Amino acid sequence: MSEVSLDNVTKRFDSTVAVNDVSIDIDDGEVMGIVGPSGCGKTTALRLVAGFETVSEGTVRYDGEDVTHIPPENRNVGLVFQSYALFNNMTVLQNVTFGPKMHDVGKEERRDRACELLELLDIEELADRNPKTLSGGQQQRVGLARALAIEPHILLLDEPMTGLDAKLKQTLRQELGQLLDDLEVTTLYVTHDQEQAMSMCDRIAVMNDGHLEQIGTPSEIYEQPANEFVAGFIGTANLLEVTIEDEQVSFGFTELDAPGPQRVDGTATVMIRPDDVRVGEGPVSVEITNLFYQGEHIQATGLLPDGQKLTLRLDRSLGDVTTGDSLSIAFDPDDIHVIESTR
Amino acid sequence: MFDLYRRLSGALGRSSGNDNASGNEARTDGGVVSDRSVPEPGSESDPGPLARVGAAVDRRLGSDFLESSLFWLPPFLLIALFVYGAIIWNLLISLTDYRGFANAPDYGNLDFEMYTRALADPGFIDAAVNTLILLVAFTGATLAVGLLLAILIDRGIRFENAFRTIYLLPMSLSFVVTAQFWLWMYNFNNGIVNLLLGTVGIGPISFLGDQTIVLWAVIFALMWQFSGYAMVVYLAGLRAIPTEHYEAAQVDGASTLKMYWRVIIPQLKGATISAAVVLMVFGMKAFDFLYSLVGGYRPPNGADILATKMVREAYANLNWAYGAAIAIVLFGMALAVIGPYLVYEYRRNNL
Amino acid sequence: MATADTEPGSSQRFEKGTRETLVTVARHAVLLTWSFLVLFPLYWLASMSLKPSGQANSLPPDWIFLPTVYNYLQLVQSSDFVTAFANSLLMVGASVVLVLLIGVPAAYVLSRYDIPKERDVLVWILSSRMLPPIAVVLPFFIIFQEFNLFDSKIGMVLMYVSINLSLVVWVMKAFFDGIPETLEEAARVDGATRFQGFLKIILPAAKPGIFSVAIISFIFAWIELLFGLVLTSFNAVPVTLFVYSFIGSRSIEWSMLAAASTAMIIPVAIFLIAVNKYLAAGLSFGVVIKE
Repeated sequence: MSEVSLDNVTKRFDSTVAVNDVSIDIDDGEVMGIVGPSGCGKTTALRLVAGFETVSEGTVRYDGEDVTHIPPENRNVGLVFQSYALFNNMTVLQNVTFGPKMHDVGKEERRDRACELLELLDIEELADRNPKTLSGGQQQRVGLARALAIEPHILLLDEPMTGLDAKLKQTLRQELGQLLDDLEVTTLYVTHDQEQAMSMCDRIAVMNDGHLEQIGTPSEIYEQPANEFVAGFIGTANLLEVTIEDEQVSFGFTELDAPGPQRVDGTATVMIRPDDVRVGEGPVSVEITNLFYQGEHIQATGLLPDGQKLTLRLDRSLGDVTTGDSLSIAFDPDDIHVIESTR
Repeated sequence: MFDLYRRLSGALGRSSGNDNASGNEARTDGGVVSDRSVPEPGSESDPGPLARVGAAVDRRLGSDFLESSLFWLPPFLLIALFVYGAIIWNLLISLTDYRGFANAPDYGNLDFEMYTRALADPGFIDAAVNTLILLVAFTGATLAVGLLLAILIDRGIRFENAFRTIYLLPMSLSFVVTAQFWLWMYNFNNGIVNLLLGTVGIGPISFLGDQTIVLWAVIFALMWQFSGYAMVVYLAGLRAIPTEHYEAAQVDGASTLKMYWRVIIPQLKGATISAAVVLMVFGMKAFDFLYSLVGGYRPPNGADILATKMVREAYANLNWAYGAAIAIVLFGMALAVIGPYLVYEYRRNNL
Repeated sequence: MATADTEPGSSQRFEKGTRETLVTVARHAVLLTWSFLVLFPLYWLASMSLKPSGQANSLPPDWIFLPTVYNYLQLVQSSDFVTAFANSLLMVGASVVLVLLIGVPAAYVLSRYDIPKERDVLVWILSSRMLPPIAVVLPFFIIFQEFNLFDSKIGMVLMYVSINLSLVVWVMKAFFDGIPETLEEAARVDGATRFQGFLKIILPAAKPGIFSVAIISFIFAWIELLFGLVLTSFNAVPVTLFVYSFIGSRSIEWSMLAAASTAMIIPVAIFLIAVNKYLAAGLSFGVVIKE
C-alpha cells in the first residue's frame, strides 16, 4: 500500500472546471472519503487518481512518485464501480484472476490469491458462478475481490452502495468498514451519502462546485465545519447571524460569552447543531411551528424571538408538544461554533 | 400480473367513457365491440351477440386474443401462404418430373428421382461445394472486417456519422450496379486492381477467368458490399457494453489489445450470431451478383453456386423438377445453419 | 500487501498524450482507407456516367475529362428507362406503405396484447426472413401465372411485401417493447381508447423505428433482381431489370450503363443519408444483440 496525493490538481472540461485546485494527501492505509453533492467534482477526482482523466494542472503522486501521465492500466489501482462492472463472460473466479493474469502473475499464484480473497470476503462458494446470477451484495464483494486481487497501490470505491436497498446498505457499511480497517488498504471512498462516509472513513474531504471545502476527521467536520456549506451538507445545522464584540456574542435576543479560540469582532455566522440546543429551562423562548416524528426522537422547527428559524431535537418524553407551543431553550457556549461567512 | 393491470386500466378507461350507460360493466373485456367502439358517452348499449361470442372465445384463449388476431393474423397467413406454402409446393414439384410451362405438374407420380440425379451430377456437387465455401468465407471475412471497423469507429471518433454512412452505402446498392464496377475493377487488361498490382510487380491476374480465383474474387466483392452492415450490428453490440467494463479491464492492467480480446469481444457473442445469420441470407443473394456479372444463366467457370444452377436448370434447361430439387437442397442447407440458432434462441427465451 | 509487478515509472511507462495521438492517427488511417475503398468504385461509376461514350472505357482511364450530361439526357429520352424507373418507384413505394400498414399494427399487438403462443407466432414470422428466397421462386411463378399476377404491378407489390414483412414485424415489435407501457396506461386513464392510445401516443413515439424499417424495406425492394427477372416481362419491369438487360445486350454502351446505374443509386443514397441516424435500430433486424 502507498501514500497517494493530489497536489493542486485542476481538471477542466472545455469551459467548465470540474476540479479546481484540489490538494488531498491520503496516508498509507488510510480510508479517505470524498463527499459532496452530485456534480461537485468528486467522481472526477477519483477518475484523476485512477488515470481515466488527465489533469489539466497539478500532480498526482503515488508514494511521492509522479504518476500524472501514466495510463490506468499501468497505475496498479483497484476500482470498485458503482455498477460493479463484472465481466459476464467469465465466472467469478475468472473475474478475480483477470487482473493478476494481466500483470503476468503465475497461474498457481493468481489462483491462490483469488481463493484467499474470496475466502476473506466469505464468497468462496460463488467461485464458479456467473456474475449475472448474483445478488447486488454478492456482486459488490466480487467487485471488491477483483479490485484487491492486483494488490493495488490504492483501492478506489465509487458509490459502491448505490444499487442496494437500505437495510443491506447498513449491514454492508459495517462489514466493509471493518474489512477496510483490517486490510489496512489505502482507500479513496467517493459517495454523496455523508452518513456512509462518516461511519467508514478515517478522514473526509468535502467538495463543492469543484472546490475542496474542508478536509478532516469525521468529528472535526461535524463539530467544526469550516463554512456554511460544510455545516449544512454534513448533518443538520442551525446557522444564526450574530454580532461579536469584546468576547460577547450577541444574538439580538440573548447574549453569551464568546467561545474561546474563535474570537473575532464584528458580524459573523455561528452554527449550532440541533442536538446541542438544550430544551427545558433557559432564557430564550421558541415558538414551535413544525414537528417531525422520527421514531427515536422528534425533530422540531421553531421561531426565535427575532424571527430566525431554529431546528431542535426533542426527546420522546416531550411527545405532547404541539405546534404553537412555546419552549424554553438555552445554548451552551461550547456548542456554538463561529463559521467564516462564505459570503 | 401485467395482464391484470391492463384489464384494470382498460376497465377504468372504458367506464370513464360511458358514465351514464348502465352501471353493470359486463365482463366482455377485450371483445371486438367494447374496446374498439366509438367512445361517445352513452352510445354503448348491451353487448351484442358478436361480443358474447367474443367473450366466450376470450375465456378460452385469453382476453386479447380476438381483438389482436385482426392484426397479427394477416402477416401470419401471408407468410404461411407465400413462404411456407410455397416451400412445400416447391418440395412437391421436386418430387415430380415436371419440365415446366406445359400444363401442370403431375402430382400423381412422386419419387426422389431428381435427388438421386443431383447426387450423380458433378455440376451439382461443384455448385454445392462452392455455395458452402462462399457462405462460410463470406460470412467469416465480413464479420472480421465489420468488427474491426466497429472497434475503430466506436469510442468517440470524429465524423463517426460520415464514416457510418459511407460504410453502409454499398449495402443499399443493387447487385446489378455493383457487378458493373467489379467487372471493370477486375478487368484483366485495364482493371484498376490489376493496374495497382502491376505497380508492385504482380499480375496481371485474370480474376474472373481463372477457375481457382473467381470464387474468391466474388467473395471479396460481396464482403465489400456488406461489411458495413456487420459494422452497424457490432457497433450496437459495443454500445450495449457499459463503459465501466473497459475501465475495469484497464485498471486491472489489461493492454488495449488484451482488453478487446478477453473482455469486450467475448461479450459480442450475441451480436456475432445475429449478424452471421443475416449475412448468410445476404450471401444467398450472391445469385443476383453472379447473374449480373455475366448477364446470363451461366456464371464464370468455377463460380457456379446452387442458386444460379437452380435458375439455369429451371428456365434455361426447362428442368423444373430438377431445379426445384436444387432449391430444396439449398433450403436444407440454410435450415441446417439457421434452425439450431432459432431453437437455441427460442429455448433461451430470447425470441 | 506487497506491491504488484507494475511499478509506476517502470519501463512500461508511456507518455499518455503521445500514445493517444498515435492510436488516433492509426485509427483514422484505417477508417479512411476503407472509406476510399468504398467510395472509389462509386466515384468511378459516377465519373464514367459523365464521360462521352467514346472515352468511357479508354485504356488507361482518362482521369481528366470534360463532364457531360449527354448520357443522362439520352437516358431520360429513352422511354424504357423512364417507364422502368417510374415502375420501380411506384411499386416499391406502394409496397412500403402496404407493408407498414400490415406489419406495424401486427408488431404492436404482438408487443402489447396477451396472445397465447405469441412466441410461436413470432418465430413463424422471423424464420421466414432467414430462408433463402430462391427456394420459393418456382412456386411464385406458378402462383402468379395461375392468378393472373404475372407481369403485373400488383403482383410485384405483393412480392415485395412478402420479402419485407417479417423484417417490419420483428424490428417494430422490438421497438414497441422498448416503449414503456405506462405511456398508454396514462392515455387510457385519461379516457382514450386502446386504439386512440396506439394512434396518438405510441405511433409518434415509434417514429424512429418506423423510419428505419421503411427505408430498409425500400432498399431491399429497390435492389431486388431475381424475382423481377422471373415474374415480369414487359408491363411491370423494375429498374434493376432494365439495367440488367443492358448487360445482356451485345454491344454494351458503358457510359449509358453507368448513367443508368448512377441514377438507380440516387434515390437510395438520398434516403440513406437523410435517415442515417435512425438506421441502426432497424438493421439489427430485431434479432437479439445483447448477451
